[in-house]
Amino acid sequence: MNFSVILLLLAAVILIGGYVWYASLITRRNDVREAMGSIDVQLRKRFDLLPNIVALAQKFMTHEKGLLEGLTALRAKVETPYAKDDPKAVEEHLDALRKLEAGMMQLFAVAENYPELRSAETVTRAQATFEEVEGNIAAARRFYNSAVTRLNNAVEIFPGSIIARLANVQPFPFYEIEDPAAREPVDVNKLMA
Amino acid sequence: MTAEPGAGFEGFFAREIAPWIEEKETERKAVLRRSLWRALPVIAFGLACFVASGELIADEDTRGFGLFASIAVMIGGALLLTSVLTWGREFAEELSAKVFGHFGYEYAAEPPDGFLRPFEACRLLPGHDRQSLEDHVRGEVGGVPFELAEAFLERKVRRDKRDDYDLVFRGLVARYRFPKRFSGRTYVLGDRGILNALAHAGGGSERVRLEDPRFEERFEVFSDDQVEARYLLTPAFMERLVRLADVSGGPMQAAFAGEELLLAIDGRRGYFAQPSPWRDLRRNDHIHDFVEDIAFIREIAEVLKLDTETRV
Repeated sequence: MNFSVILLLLAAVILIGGYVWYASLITRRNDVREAMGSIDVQLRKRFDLLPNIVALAQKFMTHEKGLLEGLTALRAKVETPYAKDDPKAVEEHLDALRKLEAGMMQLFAVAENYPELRSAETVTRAQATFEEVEGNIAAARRFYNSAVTRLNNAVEIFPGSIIARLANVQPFPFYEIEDPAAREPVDVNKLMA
Repeated sequence: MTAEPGAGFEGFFAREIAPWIEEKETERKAVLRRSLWRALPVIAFGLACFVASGELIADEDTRGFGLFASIAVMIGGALLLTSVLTWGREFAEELSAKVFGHFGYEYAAEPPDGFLRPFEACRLLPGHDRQSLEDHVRGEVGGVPFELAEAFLERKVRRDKRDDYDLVFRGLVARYRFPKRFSGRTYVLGDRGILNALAHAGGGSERVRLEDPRFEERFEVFSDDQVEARYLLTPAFMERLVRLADVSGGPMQAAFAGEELLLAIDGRRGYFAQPSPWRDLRRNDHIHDFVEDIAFIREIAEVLKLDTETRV
């Protein structure tokens, strides 16, 4: 076997290997998109009742105007279409989701001081829905993080790093809620600043 | 009235079962005596004919016929002993019903038709050509309805130019109502490498990779819904499944289908040991194992915390 045949075979192996890796990268990126979509679906269930709550709360919570406006703005931000292939846009979307979740928890906490509002059906239903979908959201978050781990490993480990750069596939951010600050009551006014 | 496993059982046994067994022992002796009186003369006659045919008949063909007829007579005599086995089976069923009844469970010697179907549909059981099911138990543990049976599955193999049967599963198949609502199907299978993937290829199920390394070491999960699989298999539930696999003493597989959690535990042993009609029924050492097996039914629900309405 002469040298050119060996070179040709080597090139073929590299080409096929490169294509397989590329295909796996794109598959994994699509998995991340799918997982992101399932997070959005679950969170939409949580936030669907938000406009009704805000409209109702405005009657009672005159001193919490900032909180309510902040929530409305956050929801609008969450609803805004974003580029699902762009890690930066996904990061911003995840950040908005985290803030909206924290804001809603703050709203429910503040509503405790307003018995009429707390007992209103819209609020109790929203609170129940908020808690009901907790398991699904945790599951969607785990699915997303698992898909991101697989994608990021493929993107960051050589030769995936080179192929990913050529194919313009980038690592994606994780959707973490482990930040202790996220568990504390959130001041929506500050978040919007 | 239901009872905790073992709680009050000794009292119940001494009060209700022991006197009943005493009566049954008298009955057993009578049945055994009657059967032996019928069978032994026939067997003895057959044996005598056999010896006589061998010793006294010179003509080869006639001797062959004589030996054959003697054996047939002896077999006929042995068949007269089957009444003891029939009696023993009825006694065991009655005893099982009484003991399970104490724990609040319903017992039947055989499960209803199609009991294995959901387990087979979820591919929790190995392929088999012959099956035998017994000891069907139904009830509730901590408000969780369950139904289970003991299964014995064999696969036909060709060996030395004849058909033979290899045991492929001997254990419990159980269905417990699961406290979460779900719509898809999720399978928790023993780690068989590529074989699981091939079995589920094209079936709409995909491999679900989970975070718990101990769980992943033991099981492979396939589901038609990645999110739902994680909703069902929370980190806490994965730990519980591993713990259950530790205590079950054999390979375990599970599936979430309908509203139920299906479990197939290949313990490679018999459950709910039955007494032998050939020996004194008052020697009730099997009862201890029997009660332990009943406790295992409860342990499954407790280890998995199936009575808890969990969201996460």
